[in-house]
Amino acid sequence: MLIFACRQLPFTDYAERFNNGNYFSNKSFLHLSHNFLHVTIVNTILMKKWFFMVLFALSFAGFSQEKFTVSGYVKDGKNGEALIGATVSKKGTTIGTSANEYGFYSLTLPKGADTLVFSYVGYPSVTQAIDLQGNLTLTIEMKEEGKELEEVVVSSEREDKNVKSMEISVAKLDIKQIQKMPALFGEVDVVKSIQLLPGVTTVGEGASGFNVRGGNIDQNLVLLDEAPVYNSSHLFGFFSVFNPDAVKDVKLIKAGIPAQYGGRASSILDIRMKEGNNKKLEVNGGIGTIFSRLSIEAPIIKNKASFIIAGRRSYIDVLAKPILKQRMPSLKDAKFYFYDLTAKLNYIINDKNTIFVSGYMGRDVFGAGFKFNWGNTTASLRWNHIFNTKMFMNLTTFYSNYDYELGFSDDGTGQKFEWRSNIINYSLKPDFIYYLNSRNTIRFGAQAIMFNFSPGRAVVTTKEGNNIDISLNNKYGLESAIYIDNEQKVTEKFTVQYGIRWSFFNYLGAGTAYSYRDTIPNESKPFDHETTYKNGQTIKQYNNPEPRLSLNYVINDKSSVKLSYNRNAQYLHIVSNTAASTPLDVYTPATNNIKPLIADQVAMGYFRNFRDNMFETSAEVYYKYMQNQLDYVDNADLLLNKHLEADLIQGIGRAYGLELYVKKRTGKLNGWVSYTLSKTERKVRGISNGDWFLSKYDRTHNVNTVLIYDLNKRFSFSANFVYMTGTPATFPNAKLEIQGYVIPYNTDNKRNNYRNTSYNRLDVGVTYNFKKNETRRWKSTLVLSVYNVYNRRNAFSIYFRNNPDNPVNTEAVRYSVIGTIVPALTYNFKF
Amino acid sequence: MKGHFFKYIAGFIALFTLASCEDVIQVKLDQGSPILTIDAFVNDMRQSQKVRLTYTDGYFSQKPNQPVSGATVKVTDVTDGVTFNFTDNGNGDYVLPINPGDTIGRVGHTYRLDVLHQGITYTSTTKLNRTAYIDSIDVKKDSAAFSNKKGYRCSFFGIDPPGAVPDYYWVKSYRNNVFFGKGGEINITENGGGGTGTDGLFFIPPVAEGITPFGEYFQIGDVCRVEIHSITKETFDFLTQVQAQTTNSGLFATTPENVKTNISTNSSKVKIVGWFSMSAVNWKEKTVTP
Repeated sequence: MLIFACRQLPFTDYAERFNNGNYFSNKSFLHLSHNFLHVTIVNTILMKKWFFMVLFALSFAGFSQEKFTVSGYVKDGKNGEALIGATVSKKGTTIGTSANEYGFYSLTLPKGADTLVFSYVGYPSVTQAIDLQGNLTLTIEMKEEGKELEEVVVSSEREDKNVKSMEISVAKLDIKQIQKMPALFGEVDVVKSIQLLPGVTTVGEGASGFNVRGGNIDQNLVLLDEAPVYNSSHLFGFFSVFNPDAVKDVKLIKAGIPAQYGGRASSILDIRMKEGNNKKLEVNGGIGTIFSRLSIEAPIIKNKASFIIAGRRSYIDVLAKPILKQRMPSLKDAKFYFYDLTAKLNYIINDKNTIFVSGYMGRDVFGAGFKFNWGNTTASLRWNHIFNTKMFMNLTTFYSNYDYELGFSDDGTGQKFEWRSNIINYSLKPDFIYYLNSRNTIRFGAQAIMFNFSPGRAVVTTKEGNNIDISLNNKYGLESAIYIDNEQKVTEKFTVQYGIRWSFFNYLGAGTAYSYRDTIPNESKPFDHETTYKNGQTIKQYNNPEPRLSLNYVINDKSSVKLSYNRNAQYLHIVSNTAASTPLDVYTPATNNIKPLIADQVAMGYFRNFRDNMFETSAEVYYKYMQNQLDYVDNADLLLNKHLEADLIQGIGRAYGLELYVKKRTGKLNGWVSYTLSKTERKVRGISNGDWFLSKYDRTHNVNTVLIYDLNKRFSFSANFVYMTGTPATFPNAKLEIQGYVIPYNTDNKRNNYRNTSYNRLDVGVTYNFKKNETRRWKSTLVLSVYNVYNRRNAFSIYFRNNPDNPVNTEAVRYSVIGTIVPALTYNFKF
Repeated sequence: MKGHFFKYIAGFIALFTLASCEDVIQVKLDQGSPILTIDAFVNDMRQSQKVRLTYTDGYFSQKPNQPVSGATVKVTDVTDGVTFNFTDNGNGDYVLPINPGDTIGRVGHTYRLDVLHQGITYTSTTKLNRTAYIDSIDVKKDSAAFSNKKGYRCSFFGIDPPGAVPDYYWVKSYRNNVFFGKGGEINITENGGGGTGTDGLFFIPPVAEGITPFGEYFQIGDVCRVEIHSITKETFDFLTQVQAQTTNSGLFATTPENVKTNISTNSSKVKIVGWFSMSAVNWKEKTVTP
């Protein structure tokens, strides 16, 4: 890594802003005590009532001809992992269902003999004859195609889920495929792979998060085993926090969001962790450029209970230590590393009950006479219960915490500054699936999430030893929702999924609500008065009915048309006015001043498969309208500002586009090509003269190509190609001179009036399977990846400055986060 | 201290992102129509005071902005009802020579700026606030973490006068009478540097040590000069914005915005940019000795 020619300290500007005490100033001394909150879940009674009503409605089920239900799990025969989304169908018909997130399926069929076909991508179909003389429990274990057989073309089993399922604007990535794609520094990355899908963009390399169909990064609900992850990045945005060795399934929902999901406006990224091999011990690991990885999974009780524990740590600090010791003694105690630990335990208590405990903990740690660290912690406990062959329940309870800590001290004078911030969630989420009959699958449930926002607990210790508390009050909120949705097969060709989610949000005390007077747009609102609220008292309440609808009309075996509409309400906003979100960004709930974000989206798609489903193609169009998107007044003060809400303004947004997608699913050469044509705009009073302006993540054209070629048993090649229109940028058309400072200025006052140059990049990779792998248990691969093959300096941003040597001259500077070719070698092993 | 803090982080991150880089490129920009710029930072020091008038120019013009002469510039002490007429030097500078022993500035007084140019009046009103006291300048030997630069760093001891209303300051520093004038070197503070909580306290290290900008050093024989200019909250916000807009780069750049102005005009047809500020100044100098 040390050979790269073009080096800079790209973060100096960031540092500079901290340099002069700005972040110290303008803060107030707050004396309010922070009581822990006790809140009764306000909607409990309402929910209970509602459940009974649903159950009553469902009791009409099953009259007419005698029918029985076959139900059970679909699992991987090799390691016992649930196969999410595996399809189960009655042979030769369109009657069928698919396994849910836990691999459970239920299918009601007329009494008598039948043949069921179980299929799952990459696995040969399993055909099972049954004779239904009563309800039947049938758990199927499917055996994956052996790796050794890769030279044999995978049999073309029917896999037309793309066409037949309700899902529109849904992308699933197989972790095995992600692992084959070339990656930055050779580090396999779930979030970076997501960015190669149509409709998903990012402001650039190194930026955390991703933007889906014109949504800001906080509009994605990133779930790790159902617990939300607030900052999915290590080292700002270079790596995502998900350890690929522990991930089983990745699903991104961009539209047609089912009613069981809510709380974010644009997308759901549902990441499911492996359960852990319940048949035998399995160890995976690797040594990469950035991380060393190790994961262990094993049965505790064979076929009953298993665990997985997976860890990663960056190790450049260990390597750099001797160099630092020698050359920069002042930094020899420097800390700079990041790690994550993912663990999961599952226990199949009996046929009807399974429990899962999952946890994640990760941190980025920097320090040298100061400390700066941030990380997520999530824990979830889930209970799967099968009431009967038709009724499945999952009860999830989770805890999620994102926090950061910033501090420095001066040993000489004893002065100190410490700042901590976090966002904590507790949630309970019962979710029921009722397989009413072969035509209706009803899903209903509820969710309550308790939020505790701590935007900043900060203390300054002075030379004199006085502690000055400049902390901000905590903010509390309760988000609750009830939902019901039915997937109904109206005719052989026409399926409809309709549902509603009703969400409630209470902005709660203890706390102080501030009221502001109106002012001219784009000015900080003047403070009017404040009101103090007691523990658990509602300061402001919002509620939103969120209708969800999806239609699928199957034209023939090969093609279908789908349509969806959904409304999503979002009761929290990330507060960030920087190009890339920083670890210091805080979240704020909807308050008396800040309204919840509401997004409506209509999406329509045509899906068609070719050559026996070898090729999947789709064309989708979407239109999204967003209300109450957050923006910031000029010179907004976002950190440790008691009157933050005075600096926030809200506006509307719209996004529309066309997404074309071709995927080759099978064969030696597989992968996809996608093209997106889109536009994302905002309109905010007081910004850009009140006209529509492009969002900072607008990309007109976006081409993504991912190709994987499995040459033979030894070698597999891969390549990514990305092309994106440059992000919009605000460039000056004038300069002012005040007190010797040459200040860029835009006389039209237009935002995002220019664009950065286009982004394009090619990456290639080779995976080598060692020959010995065939005969021994220890299997290893060597992955060589080259990122940015043709060494392009893609502009993350273009900024303007005075020439450092000749300040009269002004110049434009292109800042490239990755401005060079990046080769990397990774060694992976498994036994 | 805190100044170094983020530089260190920058260093570490650079270890991971050696692949990043910056290079000067050619960009085609439109040229906005010229706008009158009034640069009026006046203080109570016993030296001649200056207001400068220029027109904005295209960003890449590669020459100083065009000076504006032929205007009438005056500053009125509204509290005392005294008007000071500034003389047009013909080069964009409008100057007020001050007799030694006299000063334009009186703490607590309100001042109004009036500029008459091509029949249009531009006005602004501000207040002159009290300033803080510099006790002494401290010199320490230091070496840089990421370069071979070596030398002395100056910092100062000063104390913010206590009071219910926050005090704002612009700490200007000079090496051999050359002002550290980069946007990133703007050193401004509320009270002692930590806002309300540091009222009446010594200036905290980021402010006190900030008089020697990061990467800069003094050598033996160099003269370090510090001036504390009192400013208003509005001027503090303005300078914050100037700093942000002149150092806005990198991964965490904010959306560029136009700096505000506190100057208004009687005509809705013309645009105006610029700033009027009145300061009380306390200063100290020290020659670096071994």
